[in-house]
Amino acid sequence: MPNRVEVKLTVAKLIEIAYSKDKGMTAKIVRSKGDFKISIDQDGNASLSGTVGIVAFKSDEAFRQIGAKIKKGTILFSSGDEGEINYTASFSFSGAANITVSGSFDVEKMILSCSGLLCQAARALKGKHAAYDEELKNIMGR
Amino acid sequence: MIESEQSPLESYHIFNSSLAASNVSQSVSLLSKRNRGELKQNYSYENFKSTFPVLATAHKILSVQSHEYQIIEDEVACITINGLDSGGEPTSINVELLDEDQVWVVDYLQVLYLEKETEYPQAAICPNRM
Repeated sequence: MPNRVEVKLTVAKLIEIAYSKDKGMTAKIVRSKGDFKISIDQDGNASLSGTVGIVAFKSDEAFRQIGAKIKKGTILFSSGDEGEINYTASFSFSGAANITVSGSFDVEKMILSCSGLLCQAARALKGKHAAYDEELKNIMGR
Repeated sequence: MIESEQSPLESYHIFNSSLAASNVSQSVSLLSKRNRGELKQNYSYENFKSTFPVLATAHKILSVQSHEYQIIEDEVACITINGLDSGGEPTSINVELLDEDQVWVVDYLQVLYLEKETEYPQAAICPNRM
């Protein structure tokens, strides 16, 4: 079963995948003042949606490290203090249980980490970059 | 109506201790009929774990337990157990159990990784199903 840090890291990776799919729209959605969300279905199809638009992407890579197949996922994001974004993520891996975690992260740090060298290296290695995972863990709070 | 021998909390603790003792058949016998059906009569630990990755490791969620609460309404019960996860962070578990054939069986479990101990529930809460 995924622990707290793994669940938080998954949230970051989902945003990263959306960002790699559509940089402009993802940045626009997460920087918008309104609430936004990520929804994932049992086939791994995911969407990041807010009032300003939507980005559709496949979520499989984000769950690779957890090693369990997602059945359903919902992450609700809302604006917090000083550029922070609050979120509540719920992931279900069967029809009998789900895991819920809340937290917050700095939106600019997240975007900068994904446009920086670390993120590019991580993508090149398909997420196998330990240093990048450590960076994301710090951003998401351990 | 004949009452269940064990309380919902006792049933859940037996479910966990049987998981810890690798007594899969006892763990499976404490799952609701709906959940047992998902196993398609393959009661091996491997199938249990791949079908229910969270339930099959429920005994490892909390390394320390502080408070537990239960509420029973007819044939449905909800229990909440507060404690610390393996990283020493506040965590709460909400479980819904059903009274099936006079045994309280596990139907749904929600793990909540909390940020602060002040977020601990002070009463039994039914899990939010997805």
